[in-house]
Amino acid sequence: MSDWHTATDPVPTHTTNRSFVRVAAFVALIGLVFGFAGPTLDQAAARRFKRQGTDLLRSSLGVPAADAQATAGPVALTSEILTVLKRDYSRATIDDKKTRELTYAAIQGMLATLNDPFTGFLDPDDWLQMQQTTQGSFEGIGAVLEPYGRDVRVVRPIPGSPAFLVGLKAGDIILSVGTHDHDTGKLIKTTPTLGKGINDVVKLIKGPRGTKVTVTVLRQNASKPLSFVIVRKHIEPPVINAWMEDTDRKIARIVLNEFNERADDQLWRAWTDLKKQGARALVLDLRYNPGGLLEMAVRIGSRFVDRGAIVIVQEKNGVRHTLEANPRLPKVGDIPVAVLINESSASASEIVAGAIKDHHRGKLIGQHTFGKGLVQTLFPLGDGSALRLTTAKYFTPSGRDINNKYDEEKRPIFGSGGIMPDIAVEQSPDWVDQQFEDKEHDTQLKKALEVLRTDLQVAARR
Amino acid sequence: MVRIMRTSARIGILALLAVGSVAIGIQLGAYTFRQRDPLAGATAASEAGSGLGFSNLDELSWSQQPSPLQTMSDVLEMVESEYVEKVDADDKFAVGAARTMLYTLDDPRTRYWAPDQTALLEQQLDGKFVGIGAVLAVVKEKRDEVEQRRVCVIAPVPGGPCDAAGVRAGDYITGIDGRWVIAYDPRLDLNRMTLRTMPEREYREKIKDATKKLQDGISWPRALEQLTQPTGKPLELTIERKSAPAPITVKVTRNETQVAPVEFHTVAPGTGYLRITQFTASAPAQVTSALKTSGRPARVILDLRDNAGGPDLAGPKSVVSSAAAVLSALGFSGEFGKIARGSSRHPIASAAQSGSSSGTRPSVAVLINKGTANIAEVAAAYLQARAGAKLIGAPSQGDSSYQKLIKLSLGAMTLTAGSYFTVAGKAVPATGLSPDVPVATGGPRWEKDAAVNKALALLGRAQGGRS
Repeated sequence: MSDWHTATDPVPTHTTNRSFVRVAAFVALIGLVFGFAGPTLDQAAARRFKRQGTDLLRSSLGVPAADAQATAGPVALTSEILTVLKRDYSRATIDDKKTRELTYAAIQGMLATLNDPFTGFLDPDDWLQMQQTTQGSFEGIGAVLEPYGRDVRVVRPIPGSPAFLVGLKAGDIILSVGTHDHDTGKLIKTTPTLGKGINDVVKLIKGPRGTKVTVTVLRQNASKPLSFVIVRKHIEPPVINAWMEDTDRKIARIVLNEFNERADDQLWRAWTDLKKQGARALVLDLRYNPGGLLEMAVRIGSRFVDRGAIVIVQEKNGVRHTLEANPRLPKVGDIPVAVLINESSASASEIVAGAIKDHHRGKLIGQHTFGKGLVQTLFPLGDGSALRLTTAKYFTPSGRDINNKYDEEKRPIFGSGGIMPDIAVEQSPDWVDQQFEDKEHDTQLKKALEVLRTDLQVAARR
Repeated sequence: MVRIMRTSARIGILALLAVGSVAIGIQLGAYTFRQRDPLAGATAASEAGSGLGFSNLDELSWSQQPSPLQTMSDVLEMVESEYVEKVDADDKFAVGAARTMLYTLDDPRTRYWAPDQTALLEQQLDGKFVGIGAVLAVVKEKRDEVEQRRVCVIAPVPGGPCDAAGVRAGDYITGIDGRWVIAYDPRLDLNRMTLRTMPEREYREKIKDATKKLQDGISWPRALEQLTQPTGKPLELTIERKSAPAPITVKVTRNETQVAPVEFHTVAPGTGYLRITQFTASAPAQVTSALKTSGRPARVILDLRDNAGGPDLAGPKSVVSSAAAVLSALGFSGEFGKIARGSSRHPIASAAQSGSSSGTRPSVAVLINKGTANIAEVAAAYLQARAGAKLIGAPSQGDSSYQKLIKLSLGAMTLTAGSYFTVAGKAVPATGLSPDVPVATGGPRWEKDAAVNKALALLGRAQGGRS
C-alpha cells in the first residue's frame, strides 16, 4: 500500500505507517456524540443573558467591554494586540471586518490549546450555513467529505447521487473545484482547495440543482488527477440501508450510517419489515458510523437492551447520570445479534456497541472502535457565532472509559481507547472501502454470518 | 429519568430539524456530524428558553451586536465554567490566541513572541544569541507561480555556531535532524502539478515525497524552540543554497554567543577597519571611543557584512536610533533615510555629534554581503549616496521591512510597521543593493580578506588622487 491509505485501512498498515494513520484517524474521524446536556444549556443561556445585561450597561457608560475585563488573560492580550495593529500595522488596514477576523482567529487559537479536537469555534458564516442547510434536504453532488490533513477528501459518494454516478470514489482527495456559470454552463474559475478547510470546499461544491461543478481529484492508483463535471441535484441521503442478507436462514442486515434524529424510526421500520419477511437474526452494521445524537444512541440501544444502563454520562463536576434503556420501547427481542464495528465506528456507535456488549445482547465482530467518549454541547453566541464544547464524558454500562488518550501533538494514541470486538476480524484488503454491497470480499460480514448461523443452529437444537 | 424526560420534551422541535440535519451531516461528512448534532441541541435549548421569557430579553440585548472581544470573553467564560476538564490556562490561552490571530495576517514578520521567546529576543538586542547563532526569518518566495515560505538565514552571528559550521547568509534551513521544517507546505507543489502532465513514476515519487515531508515534518514554532536552545546535542541542519546543486547538511552545536557589536582595528596608517555587526544600544558609544582612541583615522572601512538590522524597540535599544547615532559618530548628520507607511514618509535623521564636524569626516568604504539587511542597507545606501562611499562585496539582502517590536502585558510582538526608503527616496530594492565593486565574500573579518584588501586599495588610491 502506498502512503495514501486511509484511516480505515486494515491494521497491518499501522505498523509501517502508524503515525500517519494516527494523524489521519484524528482528522478523519471526528465522530461524535452530541449531548443535549439539558440543564447545562439552559444555565449557560441564562448566564449569557445576565452578561448581556451587564454589557448594555457598560456600553451605555461608554466603557469598551474589553477594557472592563481583567488586565491579564487572553481577552486583554488580544485587545492589546488589536490596538497595536490598528496603530502601527502597515500592510493592511485593521478595520472592523479585519478586527472580527483576527479576534475569531484568537478564539480559535485559544481553544486549540485545549488539545481537544472536538471543541471548536464556528464563525457566523459556518453557523449560518449550517442553519440554512437544516431546512431540508440539500442541493449538491451527494458526496460525503471529510478533512484530510490540509486537504478534503471523499468519504463516500451517496449511492445514486450525481457524485456516485460520475464515478467519484471513496478516498479521492479533492485538488480543485471549478465554478461554472449558472446560465451558460461555462467553466469560469478553478479554485485549488488545499488549505481551504472543509466548510469552504463544501460551499464551492454546493449549488442549485441543474447547475454544473467541476471536481478534480487525486486518486490512489490514477496516474494523473481526474476531473469530473457534475450536474448538481436534489439529494436526500438515506440514513439506513436494510435487507435480508441470508435469505435461506433469514438473517437480516441493517447498515446504520449515522445517529441522526431519523435513525431510530428508520431502523425500527426496517426491522419491522424484515421481521415480516421472517427475519430470525440480525447483523447491525456500525462500521464507518461516526456517531451522532446521544439521545438516539440511547434509543437505539434500548431496542436491544431491555433494561438497565445504556451509557453513563459524567459531567465536569464528576456527577454521573445513568441513561437507562427505555423499557416502553418495542425491542428486537431475544434473537441472535452480531454488531459489525471497525476503527471508524465512533461515539454513538460505540455507545450502542458497548451497551450490547456489556449486556451480552450480541457479539461484536470486526475491529477495535475509534475511541471517542466525549459529549459536546453547542452554545450559540450573541454575534451569530457558536461554540462547540466538550462538556461531558461517557462510560459504557460496565464503567469503562473508551476515550482515546492523545499525545502531545493532539494525535489520538491508537488503541488507547475504543471498544474491543468479541471476535477480532481484519477486513480483507480486496474489500472496496465502504461498499457495503461488496459481500464477496467482506471478511467481517462473512464472520458475522457464520457466527449467527451457528447461533441459529444452537437455538434450533434447544 | 428526569434527564430523559426533559430532553424528550424537546423532540417535537428536534424532529423538525432532523430532516435537515441528515442532509448536512451527509454532505459535509464526519467533520460536521459534530456540528450538526449540537445544532439540534442548541436550537432546542433556545426554544426551551423562550418559554421562560428569555427570548424577548434576548432581542433587547442583542439588538446591538456584541463586539468580537465580547464574544471572546463569552467563549472564555463558557470554557471555564462548562468544559469537561478543569481549565487553568490563562497564559496558555493568551499565548495560543495571540499566536493564531497574528498568523491570519499571513505576514511572517508579524508575529507573537511568548514570554520565554521574548526574553531570548531581548537578549539578542543586546548581542547575546542563544542556540545556533543566526538571525532567521520566514520569507515568502514565489516559485513556479506558487507562493512558498521558507526559513532563511538573514545572517549568521559572527563567531557563533552557524558561522563556525559554514552556514551563510541567504541559506535556507529546510530540515532539522532529517525532519522537514514546515514553513511551507510541499503539497502546494502537488497542487501545481495538477496543471501539467508528467510521467506517472515521477508523479508518484513526488506525491510520496511530499506526503512524507509533511508527515515527518516539524512545525516552525517547534523548530524555533529547538534552534534557540542554549544547549543540547548538535543539530543536523539541512541547508539549501542557491549556489549548491543539492541540499547540504551541516552539524551545528548550540550555545550562547555574545557578539561584540563593534570591532575596530587599524589596518594601515590612517585607515581603520570598523565592523558593526549589530546596531545595539551600546554600538554608537563604542564607535566614538574606538575612533577617538585610534586618533580619528582619515579612512574607514565600514564592515556591515552580516549586519541584519532588526526589529525596532522604542527607547534606548532602538535599532534606528543606534544606526543614526553610529553615523553621527562617524561624522555624518542629518536625514539618512525614510520610513514609509502608506503614502506618508517619515525621515530618519542623525543628530550632529558635538566635537565632530564635516571637516573631520573620514573617507569611507562600505563592505556588504547577503547578510547586510534592513536598516544596515539604509545606512550603506546613505554612505554611498552622500559620502561618496563605494560599496564593496556582494549584493545585500534587500529587506526593506521596517518592524517594530512591542512589549505586551504578556510576551511581545513584532509587526511590519512600514518600509525603509533610502535617502534618495526610493524603496530599498528587493534585490538588494548592488556593490560598486563586486568581490566574492563571506562573513565579516579583517585579516586576509579580499573585500578589505579591495577597500584598502580603493581608499588608498582615492587618497593618492587627492594628494
